[in-house]
Amino acid sequence: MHDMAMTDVDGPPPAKLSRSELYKPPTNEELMDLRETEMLFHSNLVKLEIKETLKEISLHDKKRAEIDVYLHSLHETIMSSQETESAALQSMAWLDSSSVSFPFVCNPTKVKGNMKFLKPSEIKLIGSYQLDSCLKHDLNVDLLLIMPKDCFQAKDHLNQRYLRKCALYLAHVASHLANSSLVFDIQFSYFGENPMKPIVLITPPPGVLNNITVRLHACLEPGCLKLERFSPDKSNVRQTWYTGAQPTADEAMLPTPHYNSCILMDMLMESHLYFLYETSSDFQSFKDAVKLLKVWLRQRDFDKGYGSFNGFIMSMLISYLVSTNKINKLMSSYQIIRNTFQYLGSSNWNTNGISLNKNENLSNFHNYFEVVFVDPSGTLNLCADMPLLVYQQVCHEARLSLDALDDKQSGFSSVFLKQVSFVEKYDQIIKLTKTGILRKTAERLQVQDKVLDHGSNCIAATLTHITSMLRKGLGNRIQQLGIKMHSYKPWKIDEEPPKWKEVETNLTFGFLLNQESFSDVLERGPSADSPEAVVFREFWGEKSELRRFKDGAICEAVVWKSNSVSEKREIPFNICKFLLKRHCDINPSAVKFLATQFEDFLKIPQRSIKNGTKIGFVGTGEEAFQDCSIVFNDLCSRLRNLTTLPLSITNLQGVSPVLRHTEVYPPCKCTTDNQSHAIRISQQQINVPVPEKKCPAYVSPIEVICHMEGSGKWPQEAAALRRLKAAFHIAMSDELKQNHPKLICIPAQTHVDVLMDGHVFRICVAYHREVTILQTHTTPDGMVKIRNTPQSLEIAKQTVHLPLLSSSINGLRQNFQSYSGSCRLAKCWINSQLLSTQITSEAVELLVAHLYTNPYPYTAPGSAQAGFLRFLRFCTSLDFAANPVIVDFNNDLSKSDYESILQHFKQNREALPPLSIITSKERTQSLWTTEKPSKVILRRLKDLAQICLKSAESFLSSENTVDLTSICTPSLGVYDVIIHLRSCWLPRRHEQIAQHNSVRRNHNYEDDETMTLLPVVGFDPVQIYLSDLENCFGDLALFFHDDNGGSVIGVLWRPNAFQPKQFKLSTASCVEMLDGDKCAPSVHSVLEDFKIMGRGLVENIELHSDKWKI
Amino acid sequence: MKPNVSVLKVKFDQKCTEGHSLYVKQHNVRKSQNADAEMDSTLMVLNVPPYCDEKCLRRLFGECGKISSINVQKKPGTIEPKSSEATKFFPEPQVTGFHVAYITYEEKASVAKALKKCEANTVHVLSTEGKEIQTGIKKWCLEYVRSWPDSKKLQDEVDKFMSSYDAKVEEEEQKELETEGVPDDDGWVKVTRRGRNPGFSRTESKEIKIKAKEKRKRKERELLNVYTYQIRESKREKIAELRRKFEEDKQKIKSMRNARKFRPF
Repeated sequence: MHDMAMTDVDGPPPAKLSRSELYKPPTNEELMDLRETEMLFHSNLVKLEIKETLKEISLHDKKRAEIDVYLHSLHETIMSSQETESAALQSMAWLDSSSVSFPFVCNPTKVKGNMKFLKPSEIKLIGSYQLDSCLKHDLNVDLLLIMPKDCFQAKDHLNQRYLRKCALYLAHVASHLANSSLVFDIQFSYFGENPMKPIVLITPPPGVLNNITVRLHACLEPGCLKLERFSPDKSNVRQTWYTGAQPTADEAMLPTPHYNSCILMDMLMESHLYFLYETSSDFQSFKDAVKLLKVWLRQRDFDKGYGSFNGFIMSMLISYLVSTNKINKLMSSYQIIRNTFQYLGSSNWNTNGISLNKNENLSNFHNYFEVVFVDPSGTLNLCADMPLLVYQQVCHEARLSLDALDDKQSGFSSVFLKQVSFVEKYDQIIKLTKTGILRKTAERLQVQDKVLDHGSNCIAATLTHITSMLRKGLGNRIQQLGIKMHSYKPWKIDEEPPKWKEVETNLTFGFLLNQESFSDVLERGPSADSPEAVVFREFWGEKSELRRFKDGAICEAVVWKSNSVSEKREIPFNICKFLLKRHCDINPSAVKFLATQFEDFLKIPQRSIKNGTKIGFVGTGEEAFQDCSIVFNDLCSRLRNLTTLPLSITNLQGVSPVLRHTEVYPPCKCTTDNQSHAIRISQQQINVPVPEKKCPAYVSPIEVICHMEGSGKWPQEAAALRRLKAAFHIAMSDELKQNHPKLICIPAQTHVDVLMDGHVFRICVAYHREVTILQTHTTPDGMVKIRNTPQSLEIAKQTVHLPLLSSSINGLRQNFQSYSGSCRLAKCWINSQLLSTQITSEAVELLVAHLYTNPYPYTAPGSAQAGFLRFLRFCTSLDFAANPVIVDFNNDLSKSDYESILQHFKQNREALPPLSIITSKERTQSLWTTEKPSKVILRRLKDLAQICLKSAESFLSSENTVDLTSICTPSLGVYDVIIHLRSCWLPRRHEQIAQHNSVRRNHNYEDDETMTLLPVVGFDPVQIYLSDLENCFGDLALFFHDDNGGSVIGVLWRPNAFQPKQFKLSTASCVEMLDGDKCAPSVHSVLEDFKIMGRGLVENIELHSDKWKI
Repeated sequence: MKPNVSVLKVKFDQKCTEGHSLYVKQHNVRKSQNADAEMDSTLMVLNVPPYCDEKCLRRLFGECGKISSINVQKKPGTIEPKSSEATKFFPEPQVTGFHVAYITYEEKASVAKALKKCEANTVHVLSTEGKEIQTGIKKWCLEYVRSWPDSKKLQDEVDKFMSSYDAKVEEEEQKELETEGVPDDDGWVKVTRRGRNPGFSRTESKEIKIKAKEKRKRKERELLNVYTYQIRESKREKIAELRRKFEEDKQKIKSMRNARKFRPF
């Protein structure tokens, strides 16, 4: 855990140009430059950002020279390899089996043909390094070893012979290189994660070159094989060879499109290089655009895994756009990128593929491939291995990025500089943990021909079926189905190659949910007598049943039973589970469903606790919140109907987080009379706590602001106003009691509490001029001035700003279902990390709201999990010193508004709080962060978020189980003092996360009679204790606590708090006199005061005195 | 050099091992600042712990003479007089944390006595048997009970206060009515909100509004883009604006570069 360092970082001074510089006559060049910026780039800023980013990602010429030197010596070493005698291919006789193993999984092992090793006829440098469009990060340099003609025999293109020869050739080269001083590490890997194409990875010695990998590919001399032989409908793998069956006369020649394209890819590598070289030469913005788009792809992980959309395909695509005149040489890199996004967003290569060869008929390709993009030769589909989902995902991201580039705030950085992580992007995730079972699936689906085509790789063979089935089953419930393809780990050259099922990262699907329909319980099928009904029944099996609908139709339908909102959210999983079992023979145990695990934090299982009070709610509490809102609305209408009040009510607004569904836990209904730890005080209908007993369970008052109409009768003085409000509370309570005898209403000075249906509402009367009255003060010369005072600010917050925030948040919540869950998780996490005293809950609500109003590079989160993960990510990347967090409710802000907000922020940075949250309603000040959090806390938040994000992501992406509760467990090591509290005086102890699962469940209980006394409301001794501590020792220490029933208070001494200081009358508080005229606080007295002030609550105080820097 | 204050050691109760020191000093303020005399008989007590309330102070310092009043405030300074508006159900906001107390004795001699008491160097116990100070749970439970006033008594108090307030307001109005139109000693007549010719109210916001209006009017009278020099000027302005923005952007990029924002991975 990081220490809380208390240092400051200051930004650079604001830009200023002198007058003479501003008004000097412009040079021609400058005018050109300014005009160009306007025409070719979005704005100056984008131009500069692109320039800087390119600087950061491009390879320096110096490094390039070093690499070239290295490659020359590598070339010589390879050329010096030993030639061998011819031997049978199957025997691999000339391979030294002790140092290298054959990097090809032979299935079947039997193969014809002989092979001898001859020196490569040529070694060519290919790929993006050669084209100068490579990134310097994880640089791959590709070398193509061209095998001489003599290595080959006739018919080598059949039955994997060519592929195995290449593998053997590379294995021999690898064993030769293994002992070379030029090689630090040498490994095999699958090119494009395709097990039919092993390649050699060479890591140069670290002192010589860092962070580069040289990849060796092997291919045949051009002209050995005819390209036509490999068109997609040709068969090049014989079934008899593959299955080992006896050849029959009428053996079907099954086409092997993927096998063919695998060989074609090798043969055309060189010509693709020439093609790209021709397009990109003398075209700098092309190269720049390719580099940036490569960054874009890598940020989204599109260039990884089987059938990826890599930089090569991107370069080919831009070349295609150049060839169709959509891009020309005059364009800037920014425009090329925009046009590419625009093209991708509107393209559909599934049905309308494209070709770089103008006279090719694509129908032949469409028959065999999902995604079609034909290369210049007209024979190879560049996207042969690409699953449709990957392509669709790229298009989806391109559309999003185009929007983001036009967005008012995010722009360039969200598109290119932010990582788009799969687990954060998708709302729900399912993962195949055991890919091996797909062999069974392949049998079930009867796709043996595909298995043969893919060289027994069942993942690739069954993927199309699985995805289309999921797509069909989920239908309208999801907007987008995402996929993360499997990949393999590179292996040492003396190890066996991984089989197709021994993947490193598994096949993962992600759902972007359709908020309106993803949790629909019922799915209506076709009418019972229509022919589609048969298909529907076949698809859904026993799940399908006949139902009569409201409109009289009798239709097939599928019903997914669920008892609560939280269960409804799992319906997409249940569908997947069912369909995978039914159609693919995949057991649910082989599939991991990820999305609702985090929501467990929000559950408090229903039970009754010892003293008879009932606690808890169904599921994650959506119903409980809903119930609260219904009671609240009922109360509002009752209040409005009170006709005999002296003034009428103009507005009633709930300001409690409960009513905007952002409280971590909804209030539990208090339905029993049995608050055994409380007693009634004389005559009044009130329960009060007693020191001798335990603390009654916490009942949080739901605050309501009640605006009364204006009238000349309102007093214009603060003291009188306070009393008049008290009179209103009494009157309101009397009226309510008279009209509704069952309600319990208790008035007090500042509010009236109403117990209704088990919820306590706290109604506070407000007068709209009260703020002004408190602000007004008259100068001696009679001028009336308006100045804020602490009281006026407080009242303004309560009666003006909080209702406004409430309604804004409520609006947002209605637009985005998952907001409530994300916000509750975020708050729960912040509380559990003991930060609840340091950050206001409104600030957290706004931070989460920011993720919804400003989702780029994602779309707004559709599940609490995605929202929570992005909140953590947001906390880690929070640059609070330089930027305000802008929450744009309802898209109110225009571009110029953003500019003026930023301008204002820059000018007033010092006066604004460390974390500034600006909303579209309140554009100049950050109301909810004025006092807290401080810079120290923000930095702490950042560190904590980093750690928790890491464990959350490892939970979601790794195969082994991670204990999620560790995310919500505070680390107490950082604190100087820990105050342990007695659990019997913690009224919210049932909210502790550790308690959730270790409870005795008590399902069969009924509702008791309603309460006749007002329960103990809003009484949380810990909160009082904390505010006392803050008041007395706020200058000496920081206090940390978990609002949700935390049983400890962490104390951190402020730096230099105990340093001796000059004794002064004005600052002599909580200090002891030392020698001379110095004084300092005494730690021991302070610790004793902790105990004295918390008598009855404090269990003991744990000192970490070894950490103290006193 | 030791500061010129006496120290009175206190601890919370018998069991406590640590305590606090009250710094006691005679409060001497120039007469002009507070005309209420008897300044010499006031004691300033600094560093009063949060749980040491007025009652406790009375016990501690009462033995040196009769106390006429105790004022408690957060910081030392001029003594703030107790507000006349505080009543039983609407008390003044409580002073929390370590605070300062001003204890005014009826007799001057008591001050010296009190200062002498400090010299004895004994530790005084604040919470004694029979006169316990409530802290922690006990205190909070008590406060919870107190937070619920009896509604009848509360109503009575409010009524009383409001009727006196109404009377006060009426009196003021009456006075205003009487003095309306009547010139003062120098012959000036005050303009009020009432009467046939009410003046506008003298508020800050009004003044700002009027000034803004004048400025706007002045601007409207000017003609733009008529003369060549104006057109030239506006072009120059445009380029200057572009430059200014460019410079700003450059600065922004620079700070982003310094923060290593451009490293994509």
